[in-house]
Amino acid sequence: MKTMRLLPVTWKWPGAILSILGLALGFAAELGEFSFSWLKFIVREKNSFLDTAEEDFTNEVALTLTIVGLLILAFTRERDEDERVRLIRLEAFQWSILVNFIIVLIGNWVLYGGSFFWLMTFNLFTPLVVFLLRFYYVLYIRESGAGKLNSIL
Amino acid sequence: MKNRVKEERARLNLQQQELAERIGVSRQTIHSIENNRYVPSTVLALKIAALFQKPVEEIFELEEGD
Repeated sequence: MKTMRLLPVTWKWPGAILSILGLALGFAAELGEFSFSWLKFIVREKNSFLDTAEEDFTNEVALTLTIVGLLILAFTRERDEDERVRLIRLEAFQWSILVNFIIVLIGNWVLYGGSFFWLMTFNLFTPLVVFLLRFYYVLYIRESGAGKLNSIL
Repeated sequence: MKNRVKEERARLNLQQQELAERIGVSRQTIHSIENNRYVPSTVLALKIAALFQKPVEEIFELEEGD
């Protein structure tokens, strides 16, 4: 059964670097109020209904870098990508969707206001992070061929 | 499902890595098949049987509960 094509293995490091850059910029922009002043643009001039709208696009850039970087990491093939790795990959995607939505559901009821906002902000990219964590955990720890230990893990 | 991949591999004096390379999968996959942690696809099972020059049913056997 054919599954989706994946990027060549050489894309891993670019993906990792992009994600780290994006995450760092995102934290700096949201928590540290850092921004690139040349990314501030007038989106809309003042008209009869509304005031001038000015938007700082630093956080948009941060999110784009993060998502693109994580997508690259998630959709890059392993060095030894065979049918077993593809199956593990597929199951990891299923698992990450389930786990991510459970976290959102729980957060929906126990977090309010600012904390809920942070949950939603992280949720813009945590499905991919959870997938990567699950995929590499199963691939390298649980199914690493270490013998009896695998059944426990 | 049980299989006799390990025995057949020993009969041909092959390491897991060598068998893996000849079939076109990773060593971990061969290891997983031999330890019944992974059921190979039909194509992979046929390739393994062809390499061992045996019919596929002599290498892979259905169990109760499959």
